[in-house]
Amino acid sequence: MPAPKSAYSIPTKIGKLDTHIFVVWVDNEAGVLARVVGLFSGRGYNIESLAVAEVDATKNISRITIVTTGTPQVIDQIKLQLKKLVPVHKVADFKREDKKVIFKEMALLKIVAQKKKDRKMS
Amino acid sequence: MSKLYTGAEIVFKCLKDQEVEYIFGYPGGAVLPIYDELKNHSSIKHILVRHEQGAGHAAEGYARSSGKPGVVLVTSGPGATNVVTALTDAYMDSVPLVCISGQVPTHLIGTDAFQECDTTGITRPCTKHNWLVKDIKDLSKVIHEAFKVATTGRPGPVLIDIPKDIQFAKTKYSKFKKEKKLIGKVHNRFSKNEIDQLIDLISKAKKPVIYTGGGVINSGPQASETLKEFVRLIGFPITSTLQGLGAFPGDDNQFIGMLGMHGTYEANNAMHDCDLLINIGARFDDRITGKIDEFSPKSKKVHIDIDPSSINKIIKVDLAIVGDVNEVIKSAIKKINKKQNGLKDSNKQKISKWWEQIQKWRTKDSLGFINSDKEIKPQYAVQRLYELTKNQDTFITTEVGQHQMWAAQHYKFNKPNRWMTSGGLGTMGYGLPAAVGVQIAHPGKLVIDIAGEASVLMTMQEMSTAVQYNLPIKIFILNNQYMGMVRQWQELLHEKNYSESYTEALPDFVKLAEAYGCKGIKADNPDELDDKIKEMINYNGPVIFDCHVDPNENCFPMIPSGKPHNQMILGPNDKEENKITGKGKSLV
Repeated sequence: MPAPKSAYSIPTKIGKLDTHIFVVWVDNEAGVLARVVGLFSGRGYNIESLAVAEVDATKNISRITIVTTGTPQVIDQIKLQLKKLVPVHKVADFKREDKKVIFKEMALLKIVAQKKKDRKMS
Repeated sequence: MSKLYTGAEIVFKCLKDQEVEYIFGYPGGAVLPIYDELKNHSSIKHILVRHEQGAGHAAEGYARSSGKPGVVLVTSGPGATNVVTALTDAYMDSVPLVCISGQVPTHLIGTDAFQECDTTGITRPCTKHNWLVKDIKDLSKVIHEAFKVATTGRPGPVLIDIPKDIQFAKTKYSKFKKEKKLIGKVHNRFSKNEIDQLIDLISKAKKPVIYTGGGVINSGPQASETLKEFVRLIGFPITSTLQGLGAFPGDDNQFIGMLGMHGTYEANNAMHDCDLLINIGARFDDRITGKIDEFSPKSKKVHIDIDPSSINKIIKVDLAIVGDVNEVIKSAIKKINKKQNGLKDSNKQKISKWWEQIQKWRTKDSLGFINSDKEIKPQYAVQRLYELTKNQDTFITTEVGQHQMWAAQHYKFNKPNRWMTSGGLGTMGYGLPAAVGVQIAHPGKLVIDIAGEASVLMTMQEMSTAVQYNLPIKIFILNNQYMGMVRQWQELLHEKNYSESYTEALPDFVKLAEAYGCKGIKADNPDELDDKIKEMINYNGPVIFDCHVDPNENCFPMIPSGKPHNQMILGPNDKEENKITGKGKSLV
């Protein structure tokens, strides 16, 4: 296949992707989630999962938790770009493979039982 | 009880507190209360443009040439969407703009009201920050915060969206206290240790080069002075990006020309072969680096920048110093003077061979072209323009394309803030409105837009603004009837299939000038060029100069993308042996 005629350089090899968890403390104001998510989509970063909630009602702070993947260079960029946003107070990131960090995941399952005898399963 | 002010009054109170003198704008339904208030504030002058994009670019020209933030006032809906190009342009080139837009009344937001659009949503990715003011009590705080965000750290555009009911609502206004210390998202915390490392690298280098960018300009005129002192002290060769031109004198012997895609042979080869690369306030843009994998392969790299996210974004560096350019270089000079007095002489010895090599590259005369006595060569036109204007303080703006590169190559800038061009976004139509803004900031100075005929037609309507305010801007059009840069790439990459790059039915620019009520001059012969240029300069009023140039001229030298810095295509003489082949073809 002939290479496309483009005005830009060819992409370099993509390095190893790491999974990171970013925790972002932001002002709880209108549009703040859109700013954070828009930064990810606009710069082509990946979001695997996302959770947002208010954590401090008096200081009006929300906490956004984002799971993402990227090369170490991209992960650095994500962190620095997030820090540039005006409503962002603090950014922390944790590497998924880091043994010193404790991760916990929880799932709630609901099983729909129709007959009486099925209920024994629970 | 203290007096209550309307939102519109508060807007002006804030602008006064921020020492704003000019607003570039266009009225409309959702900003009428602010426009109504304008008559009560004689210290603030409103410049009525003909299109909101023009307002944005004019404010950019104003800001870049004066160092003060540019202020834009537009209405909701189409007013706001029209200014998006200028905001994006300012964002890419780090120009401080404060844009105030009207919005439909708060109770109508989200109802698809007349001239409603999600302005903060649309401008979120092209501003440093934006605000929708939903409570009159927040208004003054937001406006002052907006000025702070726009002007501190790495500057950029911000937008404040004010619904019409907020402009009518009343509240108290408390006097604004200007903060002396810049706080918040400003990064100026480099350490002594980093400066020591920098000086260590400087003293060890045998083949060094300094590469400066728009950050030096943004750091203020003082930074250019400091840079000059620094460069003379260590004796290194210095090259500059498009945006950085003027920070270091263009006619100085230590200056080796612009680098990058259309940079000089000596600058690009120095970048490739150097053993120490000091980036001051630039961002390793892809038009600068060429092929990333082969970018300056043998060098230690230092990056001095105020924006931490610029560090290691594209090129991994060995030493990063996050801080204001002026502050960083000043500390370095201090340290050199204090501790290593011998460095100056020993350095000159160490790098003398390197300078010899650079002189060899210089003899290639990569900006050379074959002149003609029948047709005006565009490079010749820029050279003549430079020679005839260099003795006065001249401000140059450009559009985007071949003419922009020729202007950057052949016009020599000796002072900062004299060169306004759209580098990052590459916005055709930037130069004319930018010239309007520059002339507003510098009445009495010579302001020239070096333009292409295709670009200038995109914002031609702003000629009317220039005439209204009697701004004697000179629009110097290098008219080759083509979108020249597009044509050049089609010639080199697409087998001369000049698809849609030729403009048929161009207007008669002389008549067009007359229609706008300004002067039109046409030149198509090299012999008459000097006299006509003088006529343009001496005319006290706006001029459109239609300079007919060779339509087939290409802009050289050139690094085809996909090739490293040391594989440039030089002028027509060199073409045969260095054709773009194979893989490189896909990359220009």
